[in-house]
Amino acid sequence: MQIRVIPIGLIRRFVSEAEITLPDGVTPRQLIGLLRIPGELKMVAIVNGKSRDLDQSLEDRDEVKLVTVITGG
Amino acid sequence: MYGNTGKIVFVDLSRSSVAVESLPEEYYRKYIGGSGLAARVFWERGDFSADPLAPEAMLLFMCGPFAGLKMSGASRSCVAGRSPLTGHWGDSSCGGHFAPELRYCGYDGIAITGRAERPSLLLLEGEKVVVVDAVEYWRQGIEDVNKALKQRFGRGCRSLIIGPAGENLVRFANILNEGHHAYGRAGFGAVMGSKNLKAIVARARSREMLLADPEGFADLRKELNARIKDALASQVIRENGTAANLEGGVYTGDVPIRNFTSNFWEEMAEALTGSALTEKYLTNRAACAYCQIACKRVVEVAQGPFAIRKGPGPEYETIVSFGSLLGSMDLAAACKAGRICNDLGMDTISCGSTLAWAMEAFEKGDLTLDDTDGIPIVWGDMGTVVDVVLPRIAAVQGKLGELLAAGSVSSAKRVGKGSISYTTHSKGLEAPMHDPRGGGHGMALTYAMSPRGACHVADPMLYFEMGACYYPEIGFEFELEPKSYEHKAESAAISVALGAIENSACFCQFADREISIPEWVELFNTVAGYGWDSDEMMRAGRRVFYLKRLINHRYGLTAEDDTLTPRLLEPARDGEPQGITIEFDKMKERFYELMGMDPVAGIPSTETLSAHDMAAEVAEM
Repeated sequence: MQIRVIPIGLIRRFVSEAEITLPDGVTPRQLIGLLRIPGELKMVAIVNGKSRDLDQSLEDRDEVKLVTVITGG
Repeated sequence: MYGNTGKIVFVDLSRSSVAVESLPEEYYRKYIGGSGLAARVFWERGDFSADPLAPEAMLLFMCGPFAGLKMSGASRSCVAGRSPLTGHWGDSSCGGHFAPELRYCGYDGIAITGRAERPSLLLLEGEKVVVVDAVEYWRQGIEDVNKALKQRFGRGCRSLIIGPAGENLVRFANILNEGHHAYGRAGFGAVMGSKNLKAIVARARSREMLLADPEGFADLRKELNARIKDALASQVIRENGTAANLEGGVYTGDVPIRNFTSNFWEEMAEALTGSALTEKYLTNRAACAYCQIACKRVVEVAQGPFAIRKGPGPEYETIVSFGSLLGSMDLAAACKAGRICNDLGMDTISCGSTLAWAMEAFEKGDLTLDDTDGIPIVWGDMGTVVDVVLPRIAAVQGKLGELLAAGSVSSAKRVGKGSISYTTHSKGLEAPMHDPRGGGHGMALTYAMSPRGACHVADPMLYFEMGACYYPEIGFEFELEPKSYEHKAESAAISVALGAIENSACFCQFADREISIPEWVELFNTVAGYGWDSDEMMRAGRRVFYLKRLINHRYGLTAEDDTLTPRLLEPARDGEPQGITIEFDKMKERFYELMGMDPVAGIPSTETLSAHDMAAEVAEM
């Protein structure tokens, strides 16, 4: 399946915006692992504009914004 | 004594008298240092009947045991006393370069009462302390006074200075070190102003410190400095400042917009985030003494209506307070507003929040042109904010300046018309720029429980909820879901104790996160010789929290005050947290239970006090 990945804020440090091909059934958590985003960052996946359980499978043509909740003071 | 010197300078400005006293060693083991030690001195010697701006009011500056160590995160200190903004206990922490200098002069702190007859400054030259005439600096901005003091006392002197806002008793006036680092919150710049005290200048003659276990500390320091420097979070804020992930915060609903009426604004996210500041305006990175994180920004806005020459740049809190909170996504305007507040001496959080309240009040018609000297106070109109409103607030000029200089709560009470319902505070202190509805519900609880009022640095709940740290040795190993109440009371009970330790140690919260509990214990033992284990350290943290609660109780605060205003608890209208309710009462009830606190009085029970060896404090009640 084709997924559009859009890194937000700090995640741009690790990933560039891209269309990527993934096996069917991949979850946001698996995607985060495949993209080698450091495991210490707590992540949120916004799929087609709405936040999604990290373990719920993505679908073909989904747009996934990857966000970490880490913040400064 | 090790780490600490045991000596406090007591100054009575009415008599121009200076006395150095040694505090009992027991106070340090029980209250750590910094804001904990300040609370103990205030509890014992503060005049609780005194108005915060009366000569009798006691103003305290205090270091922790680690000030002066060549270590990332260790160069902070606190100011404390009765806040003129809230009317109860307040404290505020500041980085920069003053804390090491005070320690090298031979002191742990300064306690000031009285009112000087003429504008004065307090000069510490090594152990010698004198009150010096400062009439020539009165009415001047902080930037110029900082330069003048360096010219007069030498480039190596370190100063704390108030601006015109402090002199004019603006209730959220701050105190700046080196014109860049602020004791921002709770209005202690006005307390200095009320005492006719323009500045405190310190210049040490030696840089010696006596440590309990110098070799043990040297090993630990090497390890921690390297880890703090290399941590991902440190690299990120070194590169793009404390606003490095502001954009991510917008998507999670953490960043407040238009007086907390919205939790999502996509265009603003990219415009105000830390990388935009780096690309457009950053000229240099800067750091507090001995710190290798270097999160501070130096910026220049070369042209346009908000042009500013090279100088101190804004933190995350300032960018949001003078950005999205006011309906603006103009980063240059936020830079200039921050620079003006630095020079006039005003807390950017309370100032921005008071303006946000005013903009909403103006939009609703609760505030009219008659109240504002004919000046429209409109969302996003940063030209008016920067050129007209900020100078009027600092000068307490006209109806508008007089109204807003009192802070949002007093302003809303004066205007009436239900406008208090859209203030955003707890216990009178305007909330910082993390919206608990999006950032994490545990923060709603800790904002409400913080003795000084709504605060994100009183304790590390913000970091707990973002999964930035875990402390299994003290029972914090929860995987927290930010937008839920689950495990939040349990986490908060640990967080408030740890926060009290950090703020009493006067250690930076960015560096803190890399230090484990056993390492914290080792730091206290190798530097100050406290002889603690982790239980004793956590007990000291809770003791500090409890004492501040007792101080507030003496000012009449009860559990009813442990809350947030309706705006901060209503379900968010949009963005990630839209429609989600914070289960505040449930968390609050459980928190009191876990902390052994009376759910009506809001103070620790007799049994709790006794379990924390606070019999002497109870006897003094």
